[in-house]
Amino acid sequence: MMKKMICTFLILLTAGSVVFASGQQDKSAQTKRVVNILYAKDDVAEGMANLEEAFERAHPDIDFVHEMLMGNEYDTVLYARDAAGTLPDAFTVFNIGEAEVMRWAKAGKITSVDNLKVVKQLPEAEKNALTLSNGNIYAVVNSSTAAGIVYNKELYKKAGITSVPRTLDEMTAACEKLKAAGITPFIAGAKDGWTMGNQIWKPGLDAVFPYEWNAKRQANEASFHDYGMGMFDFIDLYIANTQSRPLDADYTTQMALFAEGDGAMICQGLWVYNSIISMNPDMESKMGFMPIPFTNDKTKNNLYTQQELAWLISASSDIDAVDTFFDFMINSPEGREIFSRDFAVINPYGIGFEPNPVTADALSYIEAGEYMFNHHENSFPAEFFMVHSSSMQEYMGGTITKEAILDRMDAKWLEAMSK
Amino acid sequence: MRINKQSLNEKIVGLIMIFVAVLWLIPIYFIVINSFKDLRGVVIFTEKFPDSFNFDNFIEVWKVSGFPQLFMNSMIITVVSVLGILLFSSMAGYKLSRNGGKGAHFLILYFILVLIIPFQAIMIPLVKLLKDFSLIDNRFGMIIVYIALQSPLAIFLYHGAVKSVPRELEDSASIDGAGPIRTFFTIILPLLGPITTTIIILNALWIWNDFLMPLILITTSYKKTIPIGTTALFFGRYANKWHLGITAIFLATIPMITFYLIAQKRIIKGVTNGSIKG
Amino acid sequence: MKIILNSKKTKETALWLFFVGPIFILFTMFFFVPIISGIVYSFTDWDAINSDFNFVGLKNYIFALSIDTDFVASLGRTFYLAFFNVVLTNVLAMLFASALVSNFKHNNKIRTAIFLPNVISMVICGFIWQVMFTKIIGKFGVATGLGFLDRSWLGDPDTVLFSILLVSLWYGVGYVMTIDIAALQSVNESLIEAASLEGANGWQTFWKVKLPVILPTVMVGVFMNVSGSLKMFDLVFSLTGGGPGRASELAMLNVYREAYQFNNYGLGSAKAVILSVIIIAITIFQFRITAKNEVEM
Repeated sequence: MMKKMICTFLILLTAGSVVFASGQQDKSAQTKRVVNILYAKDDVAEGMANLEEAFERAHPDIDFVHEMLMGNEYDTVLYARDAAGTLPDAFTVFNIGEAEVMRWAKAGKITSVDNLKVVKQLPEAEKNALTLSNGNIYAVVNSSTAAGIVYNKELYKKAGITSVPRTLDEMTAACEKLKAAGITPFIAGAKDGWTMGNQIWKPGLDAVFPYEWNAKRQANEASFHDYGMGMFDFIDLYIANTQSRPLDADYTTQMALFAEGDGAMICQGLWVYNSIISMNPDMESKMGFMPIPFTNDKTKNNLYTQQELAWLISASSDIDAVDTFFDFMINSPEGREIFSRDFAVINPYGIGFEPNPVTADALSYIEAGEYMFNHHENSFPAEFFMVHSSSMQEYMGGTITKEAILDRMDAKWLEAMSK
Repeated sequence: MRINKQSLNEKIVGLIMIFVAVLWLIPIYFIVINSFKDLRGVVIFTEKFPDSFNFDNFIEVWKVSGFPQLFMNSMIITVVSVLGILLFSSMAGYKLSRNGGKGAHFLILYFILVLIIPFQAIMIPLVKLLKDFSLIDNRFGMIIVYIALQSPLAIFLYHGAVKSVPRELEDSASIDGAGPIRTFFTIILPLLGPITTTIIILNALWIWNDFLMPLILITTSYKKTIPIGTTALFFGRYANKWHLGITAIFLATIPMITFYLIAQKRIIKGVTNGSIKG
Repeated sequence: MKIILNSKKTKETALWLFFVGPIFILFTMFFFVPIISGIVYSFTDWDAINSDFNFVGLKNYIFALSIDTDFVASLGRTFYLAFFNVVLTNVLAMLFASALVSNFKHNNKIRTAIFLPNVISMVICGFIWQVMFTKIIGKFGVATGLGFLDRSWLGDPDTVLFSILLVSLWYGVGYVMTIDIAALQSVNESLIEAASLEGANGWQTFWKVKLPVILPTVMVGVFMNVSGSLKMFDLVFSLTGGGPGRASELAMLNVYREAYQFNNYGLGSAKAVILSVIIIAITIFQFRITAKNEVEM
């Protein structure tokens, strides 16, 4: 009896204290206005922490809560938060194309941001690119990023390659020279399918398929076969020139091997820079960046750019507070300083920053106008990121043909439409 | 002669089993040695023994994750949930075992559903329900869900174990004038020690390691548990910070390994007793 | 008389409510009710966020079973893996258990070592073994001349399921073994002595004397193993992510992706219901067989 009483007492005590503790916290939070944000990009976590401090000092009436969640379950957590009625005031999604954003908008979960100060100050071209088919803008974009080939200048020099290969033939020749010098041309991280699905297939679509093809595909009047074969020239070159057992290497291993100097190139984006120099500081001066040469027409081989850190704003958020926060981040002197120092990203607000060598190369292509916005994949059915990644893995493993991949994409499209 | 041969056999089998045990421990060895390396060391020289025992990873994981707070949360949630599971499932298991019949049989099958239905299938409806009860982002809410979802297996185990307790005990208690509730708590429950140990260990391990439930139910960082406060920070959709991740694994497992080693003698007895009658 | 009976009945009801009521209510509320909503969603086109959705009848079920070849393939893969997992886990566990019931002095330590993986979560096991397969086993193979070990364990569609099986065995054998040891220890010594007096060898003793006694216990382990294998998710999610291609996409991973990543929650729910019905059917079948065997004994 004694034992049981002690047990019950303990249960009540602990349960009570937990309830009390959580209740207490809720109360104190209610009196303040809140902006809470959720994102998956860990390299801005430190910047967010600094922003929090500066912002709360400038606006003591608003609580800024930021949460970084890197895991695979990001989408699941977002849905769970929504089901719980605790959708963050601002959150990032992995695909900010029309299809995905409109889904949130149609559900009434997000609000248009046309009237936010930072959105109003965007250049017209930027605004147009963000405006969806219903005439509204739904994403507050903080930065753009670029995907292409990060290469090792030292190894290029060693192999006697003097200029950056900008066409497929030049790239083929470069690979031959590298191999002749005993250097592995490409390091792949194919165990993570997205390192090919996102970093090769997606840019390839925009390089090879004309802009208008997309509308026809949506109307079911076009096929992946129309231009698809044109993507495989580079893909075949890539697969023929990777390290052995590319399917065993994950993304982290890909970066590590590149940092070690085990290979001359990786198909990645601006985001790899910090990770690579954290593994090998000597790489700082050795890295360069170029677009992927999918074709022999240099004008088609533009740098692939995409929005990054694009925030959707919850319909139930305190929109004034959200507006105040982004205005602080972009327009206040403290905010700008943190943004330029800790984020150091390509942005549409004219915030200058010290670019690292890789970003500097990307900027030079952008300034020369040799870039393209990501377009096609944004309007694809949601499961296509999986179709791309898994197809690329199978193709690399030699278990599927090019034709079968393109057939599969057409079939998957119809299948997705009928779901 | 025969005895000698038998003991020789036993020794050969024993040696083989030692080999098996060593095989089983290899992955654990690599976690331990890699937690002392930096990212480059983990990814490129995974198999090498570390040059020096560098505790940087431990310090960073400790700082970045706010380990003490995570530990407290995991502790509170695990302990209270397990106590609740023990209380409710022992009572139910006892009643279902003693008053068998169709109803009891049906209830057992009803409870077994939890072992069959995948949790991912009920996740979103569960979250919506908890929202209506204001139990979201609430450690108490988590505890209630753990009790609801983890009790059925315990009921199953108690149901079997109660069968081994002679009915005469209750009869004589009832002659002495004790009511059924008092009889259960003072006479029956103390006799269920071994199976109780099993249930404590199995549930504590499960709840301590659970990833999905806290991930979707807890939003505020100071309420998070060890698995989401560490693994989710270092193993990402894109990059894996292997060195910190492995260290976090090591750190998160230490309390459970300690707990297991302490309970080790009882667990063997416990799992034994429980399942035998299950 | 009637009054007494009534009050006795009331008392009994009150006792049921006291003993079983609390957990019944909790379980129904937080498990059964969500199942029902899940089943309702399986007949809709809900996308997990919109508050509007339409009832689409059996469309999701028909799609899952007749059009979605990936789902059907993932089911096939799941059965294949579950079959070998259940058989091998239980055979190995029984072998180890038989070896470890003896009086060998290190048995306790060996049991602990084999049980140890259970202290870690499945998700983490996946990460650990990712390292083992891609960075350790190959190098070990090269160093020892066991060349066959030096291959792409996770990158080759032909070996990836085998690799998952290995990890699953590493994780699961210890638990079942502990149950089996317990069962073996409960076999009455006099039965074994009687058998050996009649000249039965060790093998015969095991089949004819021990197995019938321990079968009910063993079947509990088998039951948990069967449903666990058919629902396997965490391990594949963190070990292979379903790759390469879809070569290791098991049924639950397909369900999860459909519901949470492809925005078809309704279809995902329908797939989950299909999988659950299959597991229930197998479980019932299994209980029938066990019950029959027990009667025969």
